[in-house]
Amino acid sequence: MRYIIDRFEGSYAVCEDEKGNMINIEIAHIPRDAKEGDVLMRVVEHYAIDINETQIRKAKIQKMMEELWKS
Amino acid sequence: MKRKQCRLLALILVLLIGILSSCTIQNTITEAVPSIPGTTPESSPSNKDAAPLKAHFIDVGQGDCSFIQLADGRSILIDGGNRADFPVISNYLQGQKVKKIDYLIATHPHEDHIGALPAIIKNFEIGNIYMPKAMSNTKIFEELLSSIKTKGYSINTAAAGVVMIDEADVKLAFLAPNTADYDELNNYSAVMKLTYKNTSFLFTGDAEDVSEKEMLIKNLDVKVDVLKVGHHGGRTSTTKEFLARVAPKAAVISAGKDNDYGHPHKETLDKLNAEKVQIYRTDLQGSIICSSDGSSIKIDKMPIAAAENKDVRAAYIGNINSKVFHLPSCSALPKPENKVKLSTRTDAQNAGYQPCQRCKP
Repeated sequence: MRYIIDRFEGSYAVCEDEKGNMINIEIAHIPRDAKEGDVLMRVVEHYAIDINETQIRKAKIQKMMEELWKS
Repeated sequence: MKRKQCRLLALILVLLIGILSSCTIQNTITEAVPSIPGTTPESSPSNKDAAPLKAHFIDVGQGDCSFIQLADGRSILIDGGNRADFPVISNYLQGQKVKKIDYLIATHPHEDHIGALPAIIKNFEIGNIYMPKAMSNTKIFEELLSSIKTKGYSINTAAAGVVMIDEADVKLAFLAPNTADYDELNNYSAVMKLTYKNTSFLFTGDAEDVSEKEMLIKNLDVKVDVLKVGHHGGRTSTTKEFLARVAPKAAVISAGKDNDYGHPHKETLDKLNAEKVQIYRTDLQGSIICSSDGSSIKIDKMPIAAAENKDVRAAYIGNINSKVFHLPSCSALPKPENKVKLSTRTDAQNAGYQPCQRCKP
């Protein structure tokens, strides 16, 4: 299961799971340099950033935005 | 006979409740501008009994969704709650006989603001769409873009200086974002001011101190009657300086009952109370409706008493042994017997408490 960081609220990273559910993950359990939009994968009791998947999603969404935005 | 008396009593009671449970903010600045014939759109009803402008702050729990009906019937939707809120919002809009949303604004791409927008776009006709040029990596944002593409719509950039409506009686314009690059999405929030004759509203999304400061530096006219409080009443929004310039008579906070993040934060409520701003809250009062006739604004609920606002959960929790203080959501909270409630950061530090390294309160 992968989780995308939607936002930070207090001591939580609010993440979207693969089914679209929103879950609170304590920031103590994610890497310190994690940012909004990073894709996380579970490693034992903690989470690591899936850099590859993060980049793939970014490129895909960036392309969609360019098509839809009026200049 | 007894039955009739009963009915009469019930009627009086209903009327009394109606009178007592709503509140009017009288605009004392100036008198209503006389309406000039020929300046109102053709679709509007006669000037004499023009319907009021209505701003609905729809209760979507821990999220944001504001819906505005202009006097001529045009509609504006600002944000669309969480993903699961589509039935609530859709029912609400249908209850208002809405078929077309003339202006749709997604203040910023966080799930608690755009959650139901893909389904809303799919199910309603939309006029103009405005969004700040900010990206999210989530599926819900991807779905939002897909829904816009499927309907053949395009997106206008929401940024300071962009004006959506500029008419004699109605003006709707963006005051933020003022920069193209921020560290966090909240500060990309589209902030907009709605003016209807002599009454005004400010919708701030989740704009935080960074964006508020930019609006003040640019000397933008942020003064309004009703402030939709930024970021669900979170402590990183509604700085003292910003609140002083907005100088609202009333403030509406959209938050979920007993939410996980402690919104609205005590610091924000204290600032609003100190400025004697009337506070309305969706977490305690459900949806809130403001009606403006152009010279005064009537609100369908009573303001929350200052005493009641103080009775929120503790902003911080201290450990009486380690002298460390935490956010209520911290994973390293002390045992119940060692807990002490601390209302502000200053209180905690004055009492000799150090911030927790984990939750960084």
